[in-house]
Amino acid sequence: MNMKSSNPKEIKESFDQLFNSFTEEEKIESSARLIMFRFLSIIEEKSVAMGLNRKQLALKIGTSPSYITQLYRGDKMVNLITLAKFQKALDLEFDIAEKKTYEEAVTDYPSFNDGSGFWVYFPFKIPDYKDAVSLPEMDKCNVLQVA
Amino acid sequence: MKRTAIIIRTSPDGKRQIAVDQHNYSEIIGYISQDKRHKKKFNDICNVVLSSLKNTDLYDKENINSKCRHVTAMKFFKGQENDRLYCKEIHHKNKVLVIITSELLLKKKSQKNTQKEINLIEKVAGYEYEVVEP
Repeated sequence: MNMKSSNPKEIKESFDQLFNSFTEEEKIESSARLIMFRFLSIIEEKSVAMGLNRKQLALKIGTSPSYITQLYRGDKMVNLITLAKFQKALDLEFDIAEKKTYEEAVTDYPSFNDGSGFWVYFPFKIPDYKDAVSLPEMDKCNVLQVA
Repeated sequence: MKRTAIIIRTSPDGKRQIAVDQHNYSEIIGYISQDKRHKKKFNDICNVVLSSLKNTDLYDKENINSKCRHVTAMKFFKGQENDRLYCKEIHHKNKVLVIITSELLLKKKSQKNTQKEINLIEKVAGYEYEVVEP
């Protein structure tokens, strides 16, 4: 890896080499940490919404603030019992679903004729409501007129 | 004068990208590549950022004042070496969020930002970028 290169293509390649340098075991561990971080992200948002700091959250689930910090830093892995305790403490329920691509999602709904009319599912892309910049502008919304 | 940011990674949905400041590339990749521990930590932080997950122990805003609203920090080994990689968030074409790794700070010593850190954060806040996708 030529670290002194400032050529954009070589810079990208040097990072590709870095990201591809992990063994299969390390990739699985990284995926496991990402799954954990997904749960922890929800936990952090709910804690903030409830006005709970880490010390208070730790007390609620019967552990230490440092343990929770170790989870967030990826130094330790959370177990399902602890996740269940977080659920109870924060009065939430984790919902698990398989992530589908947009194409996979819309192919579940083919068009059909039920005798009353021919139904066609218009490929509507659900906006990311957390990302205000992606919401459709008013004059670009399609309005369907029903006779 | 605009600086150049090189895209190094993109989220699967294309809405977020991570880039590196071309001028500081050598220092940044030298830091990240020094050992497996650093590579893994950077990989974890990138995964969190690209998945738009909330984890202030790994990645958080450094909006110390109104000038620095778009400055963030990747946190390496908080509680140990406590190094920081300060980033600038910008919106690129089609409203893609680009997180540009910009300036490295080694061994942040205290929880409160020192003048050195404030100066560095404000420096990053003042950077303007042209984004390049190789």
